Amino acid sequence: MPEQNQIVAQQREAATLGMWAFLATEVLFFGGLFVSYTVYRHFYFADFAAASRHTDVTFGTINSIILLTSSFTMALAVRAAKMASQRLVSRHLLLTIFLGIFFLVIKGFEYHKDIVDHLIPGPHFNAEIPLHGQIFFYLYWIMTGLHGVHIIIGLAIMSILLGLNARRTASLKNSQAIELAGLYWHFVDIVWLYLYPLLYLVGRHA
Amino acid sequence: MLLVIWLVLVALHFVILGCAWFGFGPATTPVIISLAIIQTILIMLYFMEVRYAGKVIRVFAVAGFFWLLLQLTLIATDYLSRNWH
Repeated sequence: MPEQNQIVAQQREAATLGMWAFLATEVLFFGGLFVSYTVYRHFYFADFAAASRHTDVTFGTINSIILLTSSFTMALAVRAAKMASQRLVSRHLLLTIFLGIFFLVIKGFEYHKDIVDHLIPGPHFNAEIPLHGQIFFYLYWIMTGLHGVHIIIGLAIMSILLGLNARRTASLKNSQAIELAGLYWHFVDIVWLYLYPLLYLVGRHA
Repeated sequence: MLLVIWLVLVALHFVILGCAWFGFGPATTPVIISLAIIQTILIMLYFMEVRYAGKVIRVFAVAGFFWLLLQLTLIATDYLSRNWH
C-alpha cells in the first residue's frame, strides 16, 4: 500500500506541475501584450495618460474586488474538495461562478459605455483623445477581451466540475480537478491585477 | 488564513487606488505596480498554495514571470539606448 500511495502522490504532483507549465506559457502569452504596452507607453507617454483617463475607473474597481473575492471563494472550494466535503465544494464553486458572471455583466455595461463614448480605434474615434491614444485603446480592447475569454473558459470549466461534483461524492481525482481549475482561475485574477493599474490608473493623478 | 489574505488583498487594492488618485509624480506607476506584485505573491503563496508545494513546482511557478522579466529588460535595453549621442 505505501508504494501505491507514493504513485498517487506522484501523479498528483505531475498534474499540478503540468498546470503550472501551462500557466507559464499563459504568462508569456499575455506578456507579449504587456511588453507592447510598455514600449508604446514609453513612446507616447502623455497620449497614454490622456487616453487612460477615459476608461471607467468605477467599473474597473468594482470588477477588481469581484475577481479578488472570486479567487477567495475558489480557494475555499479547493480546500473543501481536499476535505471531501461535497456540499461545501458545490456552494463555493457556485459562488465563484456567480462572481465570474457578475464580472462579465459589469464588463458588458462598461463596453457599452466605451462604445457610446467612441473609444473604438478608427475613423470615429473620440476626438478629445490625442491621436496615439488609439494605440492605448487598441491594447485596451485586445487585453480586456482576451482576459474576458479566459473568464468564460474558467466559467465553463467550473460549471462542468459543479456538475461532476453534484453527481458523485467528491473523490480524490475530482478534488484534484478542482485544484487545477483553481490554479487557472487565480491566474486569470492575477492578469487582471496588472490590467487594472495599467489601463485604469496610469493617468489619474496627472 | 484564507480570509485574512482576502482582506489584505482588498485593502491593498484600495491603497493602490489611493496612490493612483493622489499620485506622487513619476514614482506613482512603479509604486502601484510594486503593490500589485505584492498582491500576486500573496495569491500565489496562499491561494495557489505555492507555499506548500514542492521545489519543482516552485521553480515552474516563478519561471514564466522570470522569462517575462527577461523579455521586458532586453527590449528596454534596446529602446532606452536609442538616440544616444
